Amino acid sequence: MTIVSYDDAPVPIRQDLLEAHQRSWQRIAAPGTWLTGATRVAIAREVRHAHQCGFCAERKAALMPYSVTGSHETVTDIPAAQVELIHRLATDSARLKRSWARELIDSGLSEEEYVETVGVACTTISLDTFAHAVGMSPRDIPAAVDGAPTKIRPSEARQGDAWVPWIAPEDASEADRAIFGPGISNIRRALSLVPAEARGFFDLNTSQYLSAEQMKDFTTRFRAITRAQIELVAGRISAINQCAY
Amino acid sequence: MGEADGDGGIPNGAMLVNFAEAIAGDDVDRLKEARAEVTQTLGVDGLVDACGVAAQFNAIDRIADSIGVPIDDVRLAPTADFRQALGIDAFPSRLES
Repeated sequence: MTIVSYDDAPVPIRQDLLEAHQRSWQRIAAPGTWLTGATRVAIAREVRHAHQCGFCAERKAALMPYSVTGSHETVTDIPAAQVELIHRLATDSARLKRSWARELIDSGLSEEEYVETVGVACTTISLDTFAHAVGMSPRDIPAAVDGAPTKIRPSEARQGDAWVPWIAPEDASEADRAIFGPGISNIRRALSLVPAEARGFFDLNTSQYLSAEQMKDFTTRFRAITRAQIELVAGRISAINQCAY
Repeated sequence: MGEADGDGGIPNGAMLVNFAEAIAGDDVDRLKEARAEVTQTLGVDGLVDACGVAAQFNAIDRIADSIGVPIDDVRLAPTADFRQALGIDAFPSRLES
């Protein structure tokens, strides 16, 4: 089902990747687990706007971002704590701190909303970065779909070493063992407080990068570029972003 | 942003590093040229694959940083030497995870 057109793509895009993008756009617009479709679409709009925010630019340039005071320039009516999360994640994620995250959550943004906001924002960033890289303008964000969030928190999620609760390997249900169970890397359980968000983001991951199974296979060539070339691009982007993980 | 030099022994590595840097940067002319070079060298399919990887890691990095994802225990020992050599252990995100 096409909800966002890629007809103007300057090059042919492989079908599985196009379909993954459509599913991602659909997910962004639909009611989530804790957030309505309208809020999720607003997050997408706000993350896209973050690079035009003067306050963000000032903090990015500062040696100590937490000493800079001011207010974000926004394009939505998302609450301030959520805007702070979205804008910092988009413009200066390398310098985020546990205490900062805790402060946002203590100010009224729930842990679940925090995680779902991260998921939606990062999905949008991924889709927009692809468009930018391949030479397309950002896609029109689809209209929000009505409906109520499910508000189901996984009973097995608990506080571990991350800043928010997640599903630890030993706690994964039988149905989720392949996704969050033993042997699964920490990054794949990062969003597991909101399992639908984790599954959705890594659905996109399968087409833009590799599936969990493909990642373990260093001999099969799954893409037009080699595994070494894939990891080189991935590594350089992560170094530029100063992401230690 | 850090320094990248050469191709790391990977075919067309320097070109792909340049492309990744162009995607992450603000210079639209540099990106346009880098894209053309990748297309000419690796073909359209190679370009799309490289774009997909860059896009995904530009996002996944931010998940790791905003959730405070710690490096997996099984990777700590095998990566200790080059994390230190490359300065990764000094990244703010490493200190906070």
